[in-house]
Amino acid sequence: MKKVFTIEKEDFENAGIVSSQIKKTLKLLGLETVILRRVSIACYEAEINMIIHSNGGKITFELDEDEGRVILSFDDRGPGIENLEQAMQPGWSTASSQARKLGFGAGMGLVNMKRVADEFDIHSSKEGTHLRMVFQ
Amino acid sequence: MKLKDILMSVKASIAYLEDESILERQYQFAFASDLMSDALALVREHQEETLFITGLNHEQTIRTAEMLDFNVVIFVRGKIPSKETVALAKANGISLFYTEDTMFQACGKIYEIGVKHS
Repeated sequence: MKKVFTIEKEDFENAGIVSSQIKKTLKLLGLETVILRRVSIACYEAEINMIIHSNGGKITFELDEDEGRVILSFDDRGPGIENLEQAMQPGWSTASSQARKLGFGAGMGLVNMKRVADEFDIHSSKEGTHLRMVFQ
Repeated sequence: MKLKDILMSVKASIAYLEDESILERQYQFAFASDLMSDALALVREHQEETLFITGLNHEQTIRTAEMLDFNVVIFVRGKIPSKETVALAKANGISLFYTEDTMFQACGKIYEIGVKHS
């Protein structure tokens, strides 16, 4: 199963809808609660990040039923993460005041995603940030 | 600790009750924060027995609860959840309560009656 969702820049109103849909789909398919929660947490953090920081992009959700793996890919259209090393440090944040009003910008997002995912790959340039996480 | 006793300790009112039986359910843990990222990063187990205490009255609070499998949210500082927030909670089976207490007061009272940090 593969689904692609489009995310618009600063679409705070719909923040979390994609993660909610993915969670509900996986729940219906009977994915184990602990994995389901890890996927949900990482997906939601990454979706929020894309809305807050990027110019918009796509979220791709793949379920490899034979291998029992969930793969989440986040590909945005820039402007990229200036200093990835700094962004990976707990507490580091460049979130806007609007994002902070929603309860985000604690600087825990990327750290948290890396913690809950079994595989975590991130590449960033001015053209875009590409994040891929695998759960199994 | 039964939810109804916890709610009584902070004189909480009901904003949305998914099911009466939840009031009799046991909750051993709580997590309190206005930062959703902190909840997403720091709550690692016992989610179904954990109360989420927050002053952030926003739909993203419900989204966070949904992702973490929390089924009870207590809003502090007398924040009555909006219609939109209640609708989202209803769609996800999450019960909502609110208390006039500040975060510090609510956490102190709930801790005192035996609920522990998640």
